[in-house]
Amino acid sequence: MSESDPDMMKPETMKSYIWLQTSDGSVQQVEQEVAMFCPMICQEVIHNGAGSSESHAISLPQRVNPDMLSLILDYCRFHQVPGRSNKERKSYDEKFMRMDTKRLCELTSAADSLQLKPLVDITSRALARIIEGKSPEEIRDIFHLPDDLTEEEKLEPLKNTMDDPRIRLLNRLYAKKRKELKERERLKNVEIGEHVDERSVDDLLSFINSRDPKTSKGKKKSKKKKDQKIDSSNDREGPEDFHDKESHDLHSKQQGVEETGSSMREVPEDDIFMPKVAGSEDGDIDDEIDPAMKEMLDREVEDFARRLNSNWVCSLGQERRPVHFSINGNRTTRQHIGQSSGHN
Amino acid sequence: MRTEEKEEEEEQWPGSAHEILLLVLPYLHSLFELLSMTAVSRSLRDAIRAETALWSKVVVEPPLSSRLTDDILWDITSKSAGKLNTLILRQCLRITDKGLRRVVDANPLIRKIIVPGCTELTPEGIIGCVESLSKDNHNVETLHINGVHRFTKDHLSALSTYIPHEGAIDVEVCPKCDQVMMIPSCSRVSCNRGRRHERKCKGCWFCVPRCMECSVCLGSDTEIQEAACGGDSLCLECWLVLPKCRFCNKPYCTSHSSLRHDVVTNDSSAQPMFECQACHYRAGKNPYDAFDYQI
Repeated sequence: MSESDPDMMKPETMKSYIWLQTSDGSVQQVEQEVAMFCPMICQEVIHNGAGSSESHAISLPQRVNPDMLSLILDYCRFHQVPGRSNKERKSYDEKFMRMDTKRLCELTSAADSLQLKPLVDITSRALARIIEGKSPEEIRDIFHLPDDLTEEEKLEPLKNTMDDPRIRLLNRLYAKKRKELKERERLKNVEIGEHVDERSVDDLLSFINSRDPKTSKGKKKSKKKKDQKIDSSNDREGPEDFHDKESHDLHSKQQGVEETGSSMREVPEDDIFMPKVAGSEDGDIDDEIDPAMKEMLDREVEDFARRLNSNWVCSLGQERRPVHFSINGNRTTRQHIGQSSGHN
Repeated sequence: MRTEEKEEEEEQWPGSAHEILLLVLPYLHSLFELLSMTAVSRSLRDAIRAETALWSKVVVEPPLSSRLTDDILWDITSKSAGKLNTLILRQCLRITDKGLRRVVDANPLIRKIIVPGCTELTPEGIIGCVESLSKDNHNVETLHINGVHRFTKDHLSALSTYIPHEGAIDVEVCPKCDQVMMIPSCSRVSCNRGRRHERKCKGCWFCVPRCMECSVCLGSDTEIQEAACGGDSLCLECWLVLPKCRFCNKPYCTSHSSLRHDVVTNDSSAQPMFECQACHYRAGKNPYDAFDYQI
């Protein structure tokens, strides 16, 4: 305890105080039981012995300004009292949360930096309630966020971005095969993509919805991770369902091909990476032209698939069955291992 | 002036809005908000895609419900990497047994299936799903199927072998009409004395008259108050707090409150008034004529 300022100290109270320093440099002292409610402060006191005097005040994270600190301390002061009922606490929390969005954000940030989980919880819920039902435009408006997505990117919300280079390569190989179908769909895509909705979410789903029901099971959108277009080009129905599910299971972990806004409308994105494929592609996208090349590619794919399988089974547990990709086109290999789980 | 203020506000806005929103992501209410957020900014979109924990609970409500097809549902649930935990599909009219089963088969850890109003589903499909999930010592904890048609007592008893816990399923067999229905609980003191199963007012909505607001049972010995929405009844406590039509003094229940014809007055200090539909259409006629309020 500090001996420097006798006015602030009441010798008869026997309370101990912790000294805290906020981002603007000002120092204040707080009752120990109140301050220790914050895990971060608690750690500092116990592990580093800080906060015991004005000169050794605990330096709070930068996001905690004096205004926020006083709010947080009010919260701590109320909740650290053990005798309150749940109902009381809940109703205090409700009232506490009534503030404008900006302050709510600052409070969330400050509480997070002090690791005060219950407060982060209620502030996050309050913010989530604000976001409820809003369109992306409105959300950007409320939180003053810059709009850094291109139009096309806004229409691809569910692509996955896992960064496994082997999977990426596989994806490229598959994307190449999908090229012929993409060409056909491109015109249709451009039409649909032109629709401008106020609510982008509607856009997303209506975009997904409005796909041409050509492919198996009406699976429309040729997302990078799906290879159903390949299957459908061979007109196989029954085993396709199972295969789709399998490859989808796999693909759901795979990275979507490049994020260069390349939905269905742009064609050549894979060509850039073709040289990396063993057996140097000459950028030719038509499979049928070079069967020998195709054979080699097929072998590559098989090899990768086998290697992936071993990793896959280890990392995903026994729910996953080893998957063998069927190679479409000239060959019709179908090598499923493992049982179907009563599927379709 | 306004642009100046707005600029000032923008400067003061916490630059860490992005981190804060990342904290908020797990608390988002439904799929709608999650998808909305993916279109807000690049960093948010990447964060949402990468985080499989965000997708372990899928909640689809109107207005997205009518657009959700089996395929889209499959896409969405695959993002959980097999760890889907809770599936809530409200009034998703396009979801079929096949679609649901596919999701269930790929996600054996599902504990809650809440599919009210998904009319394309059938009892057989649902029983198949529950059966598939109940293997390997796993249990479905909650199953809400009110609104899925053609459920019979036999279906329910089949389900209860897989889900023995009382209250896990939202529908029961009504003791009075013997149909599979939702049976509301009652807040009346006399009904809560003793065991839940033995209360007299245990019956479905059609069999036991209840207050529209608080679903307390209304018997012959309690005063039943009428609501303006014709056919709905209210208990005295709820009737007292609801605003009433200025002519016939009947309130609308809260679910029908949109039927009010609000009376616009210039006097802002006066209580807001409304007329019920019947009185509104009768306006202009002599209010002292005999008028049958019992519509």
